[in-house]
Amino acid sequence: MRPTFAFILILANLSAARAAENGWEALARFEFERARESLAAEAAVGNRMAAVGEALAVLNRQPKTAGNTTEAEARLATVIRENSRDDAGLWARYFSARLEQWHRTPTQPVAAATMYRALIAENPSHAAAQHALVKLAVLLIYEPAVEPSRDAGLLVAAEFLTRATDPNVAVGLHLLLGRAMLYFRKSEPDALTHLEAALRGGIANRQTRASTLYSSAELALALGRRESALQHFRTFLTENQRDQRVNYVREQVAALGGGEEPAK
Amino acid sequence: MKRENRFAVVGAVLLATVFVWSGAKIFLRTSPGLDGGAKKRLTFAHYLVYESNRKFFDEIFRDYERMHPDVSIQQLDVPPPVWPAWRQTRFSGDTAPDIIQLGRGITDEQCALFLRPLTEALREPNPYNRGTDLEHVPWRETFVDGLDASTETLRPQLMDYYGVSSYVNIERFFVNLDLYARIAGDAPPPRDYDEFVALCQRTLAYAREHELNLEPIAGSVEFMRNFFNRVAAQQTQRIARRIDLEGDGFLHQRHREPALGWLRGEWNLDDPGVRGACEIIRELGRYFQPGVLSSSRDEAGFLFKQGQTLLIYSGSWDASYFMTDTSFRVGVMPLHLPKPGHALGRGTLGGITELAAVPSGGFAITKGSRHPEVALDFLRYFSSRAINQKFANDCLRVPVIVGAKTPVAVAGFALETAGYAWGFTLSGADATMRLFETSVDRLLAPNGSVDEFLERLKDGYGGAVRQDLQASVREGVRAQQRLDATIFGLSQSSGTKEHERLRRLHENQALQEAEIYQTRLALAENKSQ
Repeated sequence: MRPTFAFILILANLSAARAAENGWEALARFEFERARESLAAEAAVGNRMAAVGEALAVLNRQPKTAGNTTEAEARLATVIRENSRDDAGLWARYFSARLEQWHRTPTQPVAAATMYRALIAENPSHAAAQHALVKLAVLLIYEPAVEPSRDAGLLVAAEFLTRATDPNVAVGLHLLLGRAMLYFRKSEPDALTHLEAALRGGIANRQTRASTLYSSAELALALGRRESALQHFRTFLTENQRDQRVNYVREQVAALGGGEEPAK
Repeated sequence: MKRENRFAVVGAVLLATVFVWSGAKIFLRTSPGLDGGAKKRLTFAHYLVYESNRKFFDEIFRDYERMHPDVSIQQLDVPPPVWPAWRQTRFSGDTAPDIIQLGRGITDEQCALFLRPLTEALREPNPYNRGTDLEHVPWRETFVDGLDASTETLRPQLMDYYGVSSYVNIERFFVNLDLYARIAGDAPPPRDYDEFVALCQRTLAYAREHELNLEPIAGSVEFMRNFFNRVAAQQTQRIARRIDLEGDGFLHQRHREPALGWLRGEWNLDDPGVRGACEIIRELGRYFQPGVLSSSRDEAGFLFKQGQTLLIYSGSWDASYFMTDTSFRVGVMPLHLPKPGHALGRGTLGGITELAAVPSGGFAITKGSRHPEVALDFLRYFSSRAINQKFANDCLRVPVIVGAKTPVAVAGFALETAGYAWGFTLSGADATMRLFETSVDRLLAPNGSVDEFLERLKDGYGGAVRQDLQASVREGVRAQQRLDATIFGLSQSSGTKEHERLRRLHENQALQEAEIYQTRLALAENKSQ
């Protein structure tokens, strides 16, 4: 290869890579048309992940139309057809399920659940499959078309914890299950077990962590586990000095024999 | 040259001259080369139109310009009613100012498309706090709430910080102290609900005795909603405990959890707390000026400033208006509501704490800014403790920077730290709000009654609740649709840089999806409500 030609090729590739980088940034910032243009350029030179991004941009560009959904579906299908098991193929399968669950009119939860299941069964440890675990758990717990029996849905979703190799996914599942138990007024000990597991695993959002500490304390109190309740309430106070619940929590700490908490 | 050709040439020359002149004007207007050739021009847009605010901004702009002679800052103050339309026009027309005030219904989409995230910059200390105990503190942590409490500054769907706040809004009554002295003598200000009602009655008696056109309280349609909400939120604290879906001690979405609780039959409009709230609104409503629901903010303010009412229900945002250039002394007083043990306090746990009062007055940098690095530096300066303290002092505001003090003149706005979490309001979202606002005259009218109001509310409440929930599902679905793209785009573009933000987005996404399904289930399973 002549040096000039090689230099031009390198320049072209660098330029395409830069375009893709801008495309991903645009996608993250809702600039869907700009994202589509940049990612399409990159996809055209064989970047399969960019082709997935391009499909997402098409799916979200305004105005939202059935035509955009169909086009995005076709683009994802192409990526899957070329290779359904590489990184891009697995993400394309994940987003095809998301398309059925959130973009299709009317939504197709059963189709989405089927896709999530296949993804999890074939490539359980891939990031797309790990995220699919949480999405499928939501459907099993709350979508009667996917699982008519609520208890069965909760049970299956809880079993996903054994497949969650990503610790953040495990935290997400514990939070989901704990809150579902509370919402459906199911077993309080089970709800507490999940919420405490989420706390141990590390909750990312400060407000979610504060709420989980509070819920865990109240559940522990209701179950007669005073030491545990006191510990959660105290942690809440230490971490949340500026919160609507502070005075109530202080009173609870005092009532549990934890002494007067100094006003912060 | 023929005569008609000469006209054509003159016309063409004129046209070309005007064209060049216009082009030059446009070019020079947006050129950094104006103001002596090298100045970087910043525009700073806000809707804080009181004179004290304008003066304050002008002063700090000039101070900043002295420190940075290559910068010039211009303020654009836009009246609040036209602000949302003005903002959208500027965004759409790519003519947005460099720095823009947040709030007033700005959406996630507008933030993502038109504003620069400040998340990265907020991790570094603010250099304008040098020499203070905040010198080494990350900028974000110099705000009393760490910028987490307000959706103005932290957008939960995007998990990005888009602005820095500058004050806290606190609701209070302003009191005409001279009139108070004439009516109540040396009596201390009311300490509870009954003493407050007694003061209102004494005011009416005084007006009769002296044949004065005087009412106890001025209110306006803008702020009556705050008043109704405050009463309802305190009197529904006990119901809130019952309907708290996450068992986490507060209603983190003030309309969704009450609406689901309603559908699930966990509370209704005959609950003692709801009735108590209505009775309080009716009782206190008698002391507002006639026609309060059709009075504008300006009309109510005028009544108070003219001495035709003893009090006005407003808040710290109006302090500089009511407490300066007024012909009488003005004080501040809280709204006392019935506590447990009072006949009307059956639904309350106690007062409402202001400990978590949400900061406001957020300012952000637009993507269209020609000098984003200067805009960022100015925001750091603006939110340094010294300048936030000056803002509080000059404009009578409650400051937001750790260690800044609420000025003595407005000490009455110091946060009430006692009390408990908010309950909920009867007018949570659009449809219930419309129903409430078109029915509340039955509560305030002399010939109305609590029963009549509640009957009217009951007729439409179930339908309105369902409409609000359906709207929240639609909005939630739209958010989920976009969130996948945000998360995937971020994960591909940022590598490990945004790992923590991605974790937070994923965690939120799962919980938000569950909430959408919960709402759908509640709507499907409770069709009779």
